[in-house]
Amino acid sequence: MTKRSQILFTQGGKGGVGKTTVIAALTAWIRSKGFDPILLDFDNENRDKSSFQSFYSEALKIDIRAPDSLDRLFHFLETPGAIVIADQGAGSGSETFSWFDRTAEIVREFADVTSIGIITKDPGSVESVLTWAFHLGDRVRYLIVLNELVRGTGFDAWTDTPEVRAFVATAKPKVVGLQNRNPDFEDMLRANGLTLERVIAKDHSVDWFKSLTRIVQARRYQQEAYSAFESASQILLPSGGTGLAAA
Amino acid sequence: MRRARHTWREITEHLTATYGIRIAPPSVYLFFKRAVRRKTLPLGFEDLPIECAGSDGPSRLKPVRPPAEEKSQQQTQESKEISLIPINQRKRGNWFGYDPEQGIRYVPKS
Repeated sequence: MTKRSQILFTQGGKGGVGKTTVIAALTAWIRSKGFDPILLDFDNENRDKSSFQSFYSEALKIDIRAPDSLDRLFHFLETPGAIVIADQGAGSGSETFSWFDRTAEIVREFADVTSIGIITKDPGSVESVLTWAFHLGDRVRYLIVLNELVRGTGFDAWTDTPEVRAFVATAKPKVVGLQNRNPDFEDMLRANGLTLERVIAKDHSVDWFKSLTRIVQARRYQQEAYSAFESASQILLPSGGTGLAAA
Repeated sequence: MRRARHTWREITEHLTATYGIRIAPPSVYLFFKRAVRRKTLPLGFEDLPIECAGSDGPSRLKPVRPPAEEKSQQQTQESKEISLIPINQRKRGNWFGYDPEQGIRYVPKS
């Protein structure tokens, strides 16, 4: 039986919630599992710093507003068992919803789709995730990342609203938490186009990241992120697969 | 085969088994999409002429309903709200009770 492919994409809703940082960490985790994912950057707002392509130069930049741009996903599904990771920019909803309405049934023949929503303390991020879920429906699986950008701020808008409870009961998303984030640290990563892996491997020339404290911070972040993704591996990796899948 | 609601994967397997063509299912989809966009359709992509059973034309295809049933159907159609959105483009149902226009009912903790 042919191995099904996997499409993982960030919900391009609210800006500044850490979509690209999360998906960059996810990419590193998937690579650590022995896969070679295809990276697509649909974010045309962030052209230089802080785009997916600035973290991974091999990520292919695609203009989501160009006609049939999302159809290019099919080219990357040619290899059975491929993993496609797509980062969407803020405000890319209408294009994605309309494309998905047209092609969901076709995509389902080749691939499983996981939509990644990022929640912060901002209630707007919760509304954004629910709006995406409203449009995408039960045609995708959901990974919700509670991304604590400011320490100890909590996620009241996520935990205390009836709409979220209804979504969780119906869609049964995998919910993971990334705590103890340090915005200064992440800003520096973005500004220098570095990934945690490169900081840990000392594969850079940025003095700020050379101290042992920063390297330990990077390792702690990485461990936390890897542990979170591991707990959701069922919806992030091709079924029954660990490593050596994609070419 | 697509019109007979076969999946792209089944079509691909058929091409491999029958003609020995090795191709990935997404490629078949993309080929089909390109093909139907062309002004001149490739051989085999043309729509077949619809054959009518007799010479009376399409009027013979109209189903015959008892007058009472036809009347009740007319009433149902009239009572339905007229929408400007094409019926094949209407949004899916609200599957978990969330209305994006209304937003969430969130009260910040003081």
